[in-house]
This record gives sequence, C-alpha cells and structure tokens, in this order.
Amino acid sequence: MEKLKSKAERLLEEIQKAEEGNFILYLGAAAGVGKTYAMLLKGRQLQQSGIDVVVGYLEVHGREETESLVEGLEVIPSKKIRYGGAEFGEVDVDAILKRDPEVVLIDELAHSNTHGSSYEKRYQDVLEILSHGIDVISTMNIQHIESLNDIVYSLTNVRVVETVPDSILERVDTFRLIDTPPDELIERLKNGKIYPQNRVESALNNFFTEQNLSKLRELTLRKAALKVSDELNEYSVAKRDGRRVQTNTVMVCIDHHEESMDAVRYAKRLSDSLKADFIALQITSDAPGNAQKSAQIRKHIRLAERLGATIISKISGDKTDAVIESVEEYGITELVMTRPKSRFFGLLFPNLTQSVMDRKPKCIIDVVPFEKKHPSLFEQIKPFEEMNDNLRYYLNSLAMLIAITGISFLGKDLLGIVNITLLYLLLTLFTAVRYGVTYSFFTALIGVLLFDFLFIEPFYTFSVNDLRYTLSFIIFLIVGYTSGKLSDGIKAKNKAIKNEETRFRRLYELSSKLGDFENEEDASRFAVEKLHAIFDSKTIVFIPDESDQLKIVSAIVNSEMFSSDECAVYRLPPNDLACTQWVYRNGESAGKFTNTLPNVEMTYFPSKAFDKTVAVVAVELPILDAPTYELLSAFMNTFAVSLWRIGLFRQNQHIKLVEASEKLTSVLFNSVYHELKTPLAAILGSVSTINTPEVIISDVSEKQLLENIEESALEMERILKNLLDFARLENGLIHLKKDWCDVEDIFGNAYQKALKQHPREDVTFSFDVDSSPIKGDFSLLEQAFLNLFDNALKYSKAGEIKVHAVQRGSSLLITVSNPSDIEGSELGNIFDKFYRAEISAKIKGSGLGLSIIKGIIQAHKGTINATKRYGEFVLTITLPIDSNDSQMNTEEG
Amino acid sequence: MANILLVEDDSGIQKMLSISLGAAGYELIKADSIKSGLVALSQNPISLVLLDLGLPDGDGKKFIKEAKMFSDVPIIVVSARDIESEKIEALEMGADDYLTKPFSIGELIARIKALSRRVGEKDESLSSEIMIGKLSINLVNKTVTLDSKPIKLTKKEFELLALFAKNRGKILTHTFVLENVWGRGYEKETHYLRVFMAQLRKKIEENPSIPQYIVTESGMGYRMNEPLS
Repeated sequence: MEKLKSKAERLLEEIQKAEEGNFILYLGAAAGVGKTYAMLLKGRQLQQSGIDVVVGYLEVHGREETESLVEGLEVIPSKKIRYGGAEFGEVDVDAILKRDPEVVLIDELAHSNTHGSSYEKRYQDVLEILSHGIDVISTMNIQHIESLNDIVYSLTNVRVVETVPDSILERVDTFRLIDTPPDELIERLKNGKIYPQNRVESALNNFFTEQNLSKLRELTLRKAALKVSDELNEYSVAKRDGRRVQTNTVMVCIDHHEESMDAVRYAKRLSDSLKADFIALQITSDAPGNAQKSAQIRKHIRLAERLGATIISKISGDKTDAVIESVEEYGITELVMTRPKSRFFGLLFPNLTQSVMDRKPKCIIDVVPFEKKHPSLFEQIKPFEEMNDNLRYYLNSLAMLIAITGISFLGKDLLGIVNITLLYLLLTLFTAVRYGVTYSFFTALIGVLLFDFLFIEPFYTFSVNDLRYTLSFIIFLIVGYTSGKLSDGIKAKNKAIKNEETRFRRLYELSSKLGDFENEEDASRFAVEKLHAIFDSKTIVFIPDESDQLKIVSAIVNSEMFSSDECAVYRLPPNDLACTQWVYRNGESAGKFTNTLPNVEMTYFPSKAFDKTVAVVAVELPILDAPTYELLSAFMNTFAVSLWRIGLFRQNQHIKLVEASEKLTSVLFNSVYHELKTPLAAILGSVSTINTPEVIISDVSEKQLLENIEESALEMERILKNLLDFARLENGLIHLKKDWCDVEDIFGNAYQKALKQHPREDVTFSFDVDSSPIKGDFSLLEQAFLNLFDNALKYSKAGEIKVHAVQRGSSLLITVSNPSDIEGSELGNIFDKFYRAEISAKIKGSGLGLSIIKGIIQAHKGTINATKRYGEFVLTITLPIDSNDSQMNTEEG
Repeated sequence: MANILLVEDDSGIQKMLSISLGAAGYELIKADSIKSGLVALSQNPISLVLLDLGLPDGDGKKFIKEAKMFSDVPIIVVSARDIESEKIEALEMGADDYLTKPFSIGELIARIKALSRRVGEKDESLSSEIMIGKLSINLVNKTVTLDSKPIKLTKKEFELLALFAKNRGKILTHTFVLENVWGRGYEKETHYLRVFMAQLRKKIEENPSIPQYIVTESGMGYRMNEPLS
C-alpha cells in the first residue's frame, strides 16, 4: 500500500518517526568487512562534532585496529547475566536510558540475548532505545535478514540461526553498506585480522570461500539497491515516470470470472517468492452495471486485499489499453492473467489475455489455467429492468430501418441504388454513435438483409445475382462493427474522464474542508453531508468515545440530519450493531456487499489512520463496484486523517491548558502561603501569650488577644473561601445553578456579611435598587457582591458607598461607587489576578477579590468595568436579566 | 436543661462544643458515628441534634433518614461541606438547619434557640395565634398585625407568612415553600417565590434590603427568625 499512501499520511508518519531516534545500520556481506570499524569511526566523527556519543555494546574480537578506535569513547558497561555456569554480557538498556546520550553505538544487531535478559533479541533492546528518542548506530551481516534466510542457505549451505525480521529493516532510517571485495576479505582473514589464528583454517573451509563471499556480496548490494529504490519511490510517488530502479512487481488482473481467485492466489505466491510488490488491477468498463458481476468482482478484490495486494482501479473502454498502461505506469515485471476461454471464441472475439499478449508488454506474463465451469446461459440473462434500455435501442434502430427502407422503396427510381446504400450506411453510423456497437452491428445486418431483399436482383429473395454485392455486404458489416466499437471506446473514455473528475472534485472538496474543523462532531457532520450528496442515502458516522465505545456522532436518515444529541437515542438493529463493532475491531469493511455480515442493510467502512480505526462510517449503497469502493476508501482515509489531526490538536490544547494551570497554581500557592501565614502568626502568638504561665496578663489584655485570634481566624476563612472560588472559576468547574434571584436580597445578604467582616464607622452605604428578579446563581452573585462591598469597605475613603441598580432593556445595570485615591492609570490592572493597587499596600488582601468578581460576572455573561469619576472609584456591572435568553448559551448543567 | 446530641467524630470540635454549649446551659451527649448516634437518640431524651456529615461509618445524611423514622427531633447539620446540592439534599431529607464550618458559637446558639423555641411551643402552635417579635399572626382569622397595627396581605402572602411562622427557625427550601404554598407542579417556579417574598418583606420588614423576620439563606432557602430585639 506504500505507494498509494496519501501525502498527509506520509507527512504524519514522518512527524511521528521524528520523535523517535534515528536508526543507522551498517550492513555487510560477512564478518570482517569492517562494519564495527566503520561504526566506531562514525561515532568518533560525531563526537568530534560535539555530539554526545556512547558505546552501548561492542564486540572487538581482539581486533587491534578496532580497539584503538574505542579509546576516547565512553563505554556503557554491558549487563552481566549468568546462565548455565557462564557469564554473558548484554546491552544494558536501563543504563543507556539513564545515561541518555544523543547517539549510542550497538554492535551485532542480530544477536540473541542470553536467557534471563528482558528481551529475547538485541534488536528489541535497540527498538526500546530508539523509542526514547536516542539515535542508534548498529551493525549486521546480510545473512541475518529473515526473508533472505532461505536464499543464504541455498547459496552457501550455511543455515543462519540468528535472524532479524524484515520489519526491523523497514524501521532503519539509513543503511550504510560496507563493501570489501572477497579476495581482500580472505586476505584479511588469513592475516588473523578477523578471527584468532586457530579458527582461520575452519573458517576458510566452511564459510569464507570466495564463492560464498561473492554470492553474499551480491545479495547485500542487491538488498541495498532495493532499499534505495524504495526510498526513491516514497520520495517521488507523484512522478511515476519510469525512472525507478528495477524491482519486482507482480500485478494480477481481476475480473468477474471465478478464475480470478486462483489468479490472485497465484500472484500472491509469486510476489512472495520474488519478494515483489503485489498489485491487483481492476478494470471497469462503461457498460451498465451488473449487480452480480460487481459483487463477484468485489469478492475478488477483497481476497486480493486480504492477501496484501494494493488495489488499482482503472476506468477504461479498452481493457487491453488499461492493462498495458498499468504495466508501464507501475513498472510491472510479472503480469498474472487467466487463460483464454476457448480457442474458437478467442479467434472471433479476442480475449483480454490474448490481446494483452499481442501487445507484447515489457513484462513476464503468467497465464493461470482455469478449470471452473462458467455460469449457465440462463444465469447470464439480464433481468428485465436492465433489458429496458437495450430493448428500446433495438426497437429504435428497427423503426429507423423501416423508415429508411420505406423512403428508399418509394423513391427507388429517384434516389438510385448508390444513394440508398449510403442512406443505410448513414443509419448504421447514426446508431453507432448513439447506441454503440451492438446496435450498429444489428442495424448493419438487418439493413443488408432488407437491402438485399428489396433492392438487389433478383428482388424479394435473399439471393444475389451479382456476386460483387456480397463484398459490399461484408464491407457494410465491417463498417457497422468498427464504427460502433470506435464510438463505444470514445464514450467510455469520456465517461471515465467525467467520473474521474467528479471523484477528484468530491475528494478535493472533502480534504480541503476537512482540514478546517476543530472537533469531531463538525468534521463528521460535514463528512455525512458529503456522503449523502454523493449517494443520496442513509449515512451514519460512529466515533469511539473515551471508554472505547462506538457512538453515533452524526447521521442522515431519510434525508434528515441528526445531531449527536439526537443520535444518542437512535437504536441500531443488533446485526448492524455487531457490524459496527466488527469493523471497529478488525479495521476492515463489513456489511452489505462484503463477505462479513452481508445480511444487513448498510455497508460499514473503517476510517483508518496509521492502522488505527478512528471512526466507522455506514453508508446505504445501491451497489458497491470498484470505483465506488475506491472513492469511499479515499474518502475514509481523508476523514481519518482529519480526525487524527483533530485528536492531535486537542491533545496539544490540553497540554497547553495543563501548563497554564500549573503555572497558575505555583503563583497561587506562593502568594497564598504568605497571606495565610500572617493571620496564623497572630493566632499562635496570641494563644501562646495566654497559655504561657510566666506571662501574667490582665483580663482586658486577654480579651483583646482573644478578639485578635477571632479576627485572624475569620481572615483565614475568607482567604480560603476566596481561594476555593477562584480555583473553581479558573478551572471552569463552576456550574451555574441558575434560578430567579431578588437583587435586593443579594445586596442585603452581601452587605450584612461585608459589614461583619470590615465594620467601618466613617463609611455609610446607600442603596437605590429598582429591579425585578434576575436569573442567576444566588450564592455566586452574593459572593461577588460580598467581595465587592468588602473591597469598597476596605479601600474607600471616608464617605458614602453608593449602590445603584436599574433595569436597562434586557439587562440590569449596577453601579457601585466610593470615594477613592486610586490612580486612573491602575484601573487597567485591577482585575488581574494577584494585582494589588498602590493604595492597598497597607491593607490585608490576596489580590484575588476583583478577579473573582469578574469571573462570576462573566460566568453570568455580564460585563464589569472600572472608572474613576470626580474622585470616586466606580464599578459598572451589567447582568442579563435572563441569560438563558441571550444567544450565547454555553451554560452547563 | 435541654439535652443536645452531638454526632461528630472530630475530638477538637467535640471538646470545644462541650465547653461552650455547657457554659450556655446545655447538656451535651456525644456520639462519634451514625450507629452510636442513633443508639444515643433512641435511649435518651434528646431535644436537638448537631450532626456532622462526614462520619466514619458513612454519610451523615443516612443518620437524618433513620432518625426521622422514629423521632421528630430537630437536626442542625454542622458540616464543612459547602456545596449547595449537598445542603439542599440534607434539608429535604429532614434536617432543620445547616451551618457551615467554621461557624461562630454565637451563631450556633442562636440557631439552637430558634429551633428549641419552636419545639417548646409545639402545643401552642396548634392555637390560633403566633407571635414573633412585633408580628402577630392569627391563623384562624387570617389577619396579621405588626406593632399592633393591622397589615393587609394577599391570600398567597398570608399563606407564605403562615408557613414560615409555623416553621420558625427552620430553613425552608424553595421547593418546600413552592409545594406548600402554590401546590405540586410549581416546585420550579422560583420566580413567583422571589416576587411574593419581595412584596411580603416590603410589608413586614422595616428595611426590606436587610430583612429581620424572614432571612435568605443563600443557596438553600429562607428561614424565619425571631428578630434581634
């Protein structure tokens, strides 16, 4: 599937990969080619350029050159594991992770760890290290690659036990090939540079033969070339211009015949044995859809998919052209087709396999024999509805033939035989253009018969005196057939282009818009609308919730849009429910027109990003042919990527929120700690004064101390209450419990409490309240005005605090003013958390009061402003009488 | 000498209350769990219960529910829980008052007095006249006088006042008042309540902004008080 990955998917894959460490692998044909040496050299280079490099594991085999390179590099000691009486050294993953270098060098990737290690294989250690974002440089010999195991065995007769799965190689970011010619390698072996002298002899006789080394070298070079070609491919998927390095690609042509199944299976075996890419080609012609055939084709495509094929769909009037084009386009090396039906028919109507072979494509063609019987003629008869158009075309052709014949017969003498022939030819061409080959051939045939019967001597018989006319008839028939065929081809092409265009337009619309959504619900609604626009049928989108349960997020049923709330009550039949679960769990489509649970009404498609099903989409389809399937697949991919992006976006937002809240918490605690300590000190001091026997105090002093304690304790309570409110407001945890409240009542309660907290003799309150009840949270509003009056009492200069409340339209306008020395320049800051005005320096407070007021007022969708007017500090507050009526209704609970 | 049952597991609060309430002339019986509290309530003549909600053997609301099954003793919840829904739940289960910790002893004693007075006057409340401060309410004639001067109340206003008068000292939740004055189905119509309460206050209170007779308990409801002389 790599080739067809969408750009967005690849991009995301890159991003994900980037978070992991870089993986560089030094690949060699045999021991002693210098992999370890090269790895260490690289390590030293990196170190010199200032990168933190450590050696995670090294096998020096007593080679001096290598050992000298290790000097100066930090070596993480290997983990010692005792097994069977001996002690083995393995990669110490924990130590490496703890050390956290930028790059770690680990020798011998294919090594199997000693029994008792946390991982069975060393490559698993490496994967873990990579996953922590540490770059790894490692080494390996070609014979350890699992898929080459058999080949290595057949080439060298040596069975390699320690293998590395190919998937690990796919994880490798950069391959470095270390190549040493075999004769040089043998020379080095003989000089004892690879193994100790005592092992040289046996090595030379067994593995290190020049023949073996040559073969392995070739294998290594080829494998490296393959990797390069893969990368090339990934790099320039769009440019399919044939500049690729030659690799094997198997393509199988799928049609509705049952033999296709055998062909697909054969192609799979072939691609496996060749280690080749596997493509299944499906050609759709313009012919009116036949449900039975389409279902059959779908079945074959599903099989191909299951076997890991990449499905390519072509719409073309000429199947042969389509096959040849695909062979060139995808660089196919092996083409698998089914055998022509029979020689006899093969001559009359050239079979696809035959015609493809005739075009001599630049690939090997494998023809799979078939033994299965064809469906009987009876089964092939189309149902009546489908015959309708056909019948009409026949009747129209026939009617025109009769008309032409009538005209010709009546004006026989006037027109002359040549013109009559041309009239018939004209009609043939007309039917060819309008109806296609079947009808033009039909018209030609009947035309010839009528012409012969009526206008050729002897008249009113089908015999012909002048044999030259026989040739004319044949030419006539050929013209009828070829012109019809030609027009069919043009029509198919036109329609294909048109289809392709609509498809691309729809996909483009989808992908361009889907990028804009910030939540799943909107994206789903959009997807449902688009699908409904295409198929005009029931469409449902399911998305898993936090507990991994599929929920309907958006649906169109009977052309009616349902929002997610309404969807909650929508109940699916049990079979459909099972279907959604199955699709979600298996990541494959199911339902109608598929092999899984085909008895339900709708077809269920997984929407997958990075092999994870992020949504299930159900569509009620009239038919599921290849173009539809492909369109839907592309659609699902785009949708999935969009959902994935939304998920990432949300995660990101959440992280930002957490960061902000952490920062706030630390500021809060630092400030509050100080605020709480002051009254606490007063309490402790007073209590210890009373409790210490040496200190003898008068009753009056004792009473004063007790009053002091009470005051300080009340102060602490206030701070705690403010903090709690503040924290709730900040976290958005406050759920307004809205109810009708009497403003006068709110003011009265707040005023009495404020007065208790800060009694002042030199300040009076005046209330001028004229209002009917407003809808709000009584306790919170009371808290807000308590803070407000408390502030006024604390900071006001001697004088009058005036409270006004008057109804203005649908809002309540409240002003609270008090004489104040606050600087006008400070007004902008007073609502900030922890901000304390200059005039308040000597007064106790946390700097939270006004920000709490603001928070509560805003939660009620009100506004608050501060101004300085004629030496008075004025707070102006508006509160909607009934905030439920206002448009911005985001209230919860 | 009235017996007060204190159901509270914090020894600090226990100690403090037994000293202060003892000094105020009450006898304190202590229990530190729901179970022992219910045992003490069933075995002693108790005139009032002070109840903490966070108890070792469960939520104090369970105590209210069980106690109300065999006793109509007034219950004052004394809890640090300051969540409206919690308070209303406790009141609707049968608690008479709710005091949030920390509280002042003066406040607590006032509440205790208000509730015990009503209980003491129980027999009297069957009579036709209720006197609260300068307010006199005749339940039979449906007349009200303030400072011996008659005041005119509408039918609903009177019903409202009568309901509060009969439940002096007790916090009445909005739901309770609406259901008893307006009837079932009106529990959510707090708008009515606000309007009528404002009207009633204008008629009986000296300063409606700072009511003395019927005070608002924010987030819970209203309570009729004996006005501070």
